[in-house]
Amino acid sequence: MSAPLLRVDNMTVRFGGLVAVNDVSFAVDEGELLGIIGPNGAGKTTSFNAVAGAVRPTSGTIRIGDQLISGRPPERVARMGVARTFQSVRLFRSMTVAENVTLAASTVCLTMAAAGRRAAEVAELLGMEALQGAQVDALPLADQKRVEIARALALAPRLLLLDEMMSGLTDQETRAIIGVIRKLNDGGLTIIVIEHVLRVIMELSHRVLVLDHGVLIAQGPPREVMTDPHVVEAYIGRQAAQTFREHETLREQR
Amino acid sequence: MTGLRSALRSTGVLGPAVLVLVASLPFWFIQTQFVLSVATLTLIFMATSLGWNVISGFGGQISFGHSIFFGLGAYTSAILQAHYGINAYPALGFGVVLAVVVAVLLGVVTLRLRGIYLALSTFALTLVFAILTGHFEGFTGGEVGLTLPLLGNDPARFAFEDKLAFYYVALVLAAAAFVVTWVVLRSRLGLQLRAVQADQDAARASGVLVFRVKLTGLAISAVPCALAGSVYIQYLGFIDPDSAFGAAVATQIAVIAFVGGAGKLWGPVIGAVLLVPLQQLLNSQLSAYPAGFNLVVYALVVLVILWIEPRGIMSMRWPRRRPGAAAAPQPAAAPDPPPQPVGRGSR
Repeated sequence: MSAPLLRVDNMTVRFGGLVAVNDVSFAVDEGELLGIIGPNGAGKTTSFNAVAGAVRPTSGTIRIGDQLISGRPPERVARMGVARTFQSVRLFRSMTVAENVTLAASTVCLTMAAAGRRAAEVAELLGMEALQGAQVDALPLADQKRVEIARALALAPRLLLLDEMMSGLTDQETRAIIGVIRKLNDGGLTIIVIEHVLRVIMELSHRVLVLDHGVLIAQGPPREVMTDPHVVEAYIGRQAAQTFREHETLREQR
Repeated sequence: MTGLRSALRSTGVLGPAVLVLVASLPFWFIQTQFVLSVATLTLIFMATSLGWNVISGFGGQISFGHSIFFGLGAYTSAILQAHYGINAYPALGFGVVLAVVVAVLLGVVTLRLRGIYLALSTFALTLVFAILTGHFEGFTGGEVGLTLPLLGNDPARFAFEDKLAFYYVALVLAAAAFVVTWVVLRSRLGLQLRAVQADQDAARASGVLVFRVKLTGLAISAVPCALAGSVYIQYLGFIDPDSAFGAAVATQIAVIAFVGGAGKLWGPVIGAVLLVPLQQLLNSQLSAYPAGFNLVVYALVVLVILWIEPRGIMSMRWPRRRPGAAAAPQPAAAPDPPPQPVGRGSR
């Protein structure tokens, strides 16, 4: 078996006296789609930021392939193949869609012509050719989220980190984005998804990590994790577990 | 949106047209020394502001210290000629090199700061330069300033009897500065500077080497300023700490761009064409009595423009004339069209 693409060992992140992430270790294989869940303050986004280089872990190591990325600044991590989206959309508002995507491509392509071609490819992949000339702040939220994905993909990443893509979207829009994510993963891209909407994680992920108060309390295939009594009792709550069982029953009846 | 902005957007045709127009300016005005002097100074400060626009306009790293590079250009030219008898052209070259070196050194320290802290520290630094040049009298002429040796008409030493020649020198300078900013804006650096302005963290997440991009932007932006300083000293033959590094120059470079439109290609051009003649006119007409009244009027004009449109003249929307609206008034209770967004406070 080959070495994992991402390997996090004993990662701890402290902010002053607060331990946001406590001795977390996990690995992600090439081509895998990993979901991370947990309540607010569980350390999801902090773990995410640590992998992306935006937050420096207090201790522990993070590796992409055999390269150490913990301690490197975010722009270096991005160039080493870890691309991310932001929970609250953070596009370059004064630019067009094409410029947003070309910008990201320009940091990894040799020439601007190549960056432009790369941006056009990504737009085609996501079916956004028609949006290319639009100012991003004139777009509806769902399209802005697509541009976030496009901008991340323009880096030609080995690992894509998606932070709460579905927040603020309608069911239909959520389904569309799920389709996009699945398509990218089917194309071989390794993806980590943070999500509040459990249904999304259930549908998408090969494997799920559960964080609670900065501690990794469970990991495994979605169905196992969701019915794990520890997870149910300690974190999700009885009601959610009930909802989940109903969901499962409905699915079986179909 | 018709009007200035969209018209100016087609730079391809307009650039050469404006150039021809401006180049012929001395011939269709009644040529007085005053008009020529105002026009020359306008072009010189246009060049400094165009330089400023690269790092502070496109990159959003607001500097109130670009007078440092202007002053270094002027003083290097002056000192090398006055003390060492070096030809003006290599002296100008030295000025540019020194300005770029200083830009990089200062950038390493200041560009880690964001927003108002960067603006304040660059402003403080230019005042430090003013004090230091005032201090070392033997070298810089101190507070009294430094005068170039009189050379008469010697184009080989960058000295012209005819002030019209300096007008064209300044025109070439401003045009070159414009071309540089145009090239930068269309380049990878320009795109990355704009990303840094829009969202620095998102830019880093997209792999932009933010610090290097800022440093490159600052170094490039120092060049037109230093050249402008050299042309300024050749033109006036005299420089002192206040007119090189002083608060007035420091703010003027930035204010020209803000009024015209910071980050817009044509912003510094519009700003300079409006503000420098206004300032020169006020200085000559209103400075005697009551004292300082020229500055009050100048400040009011700047305030009114920025109150109407904080992003500068280039972002103003001009009222659209609806075809037929005047000829055939709408019957009955036609509601007023919604007011044009002025963008006030939308920065």
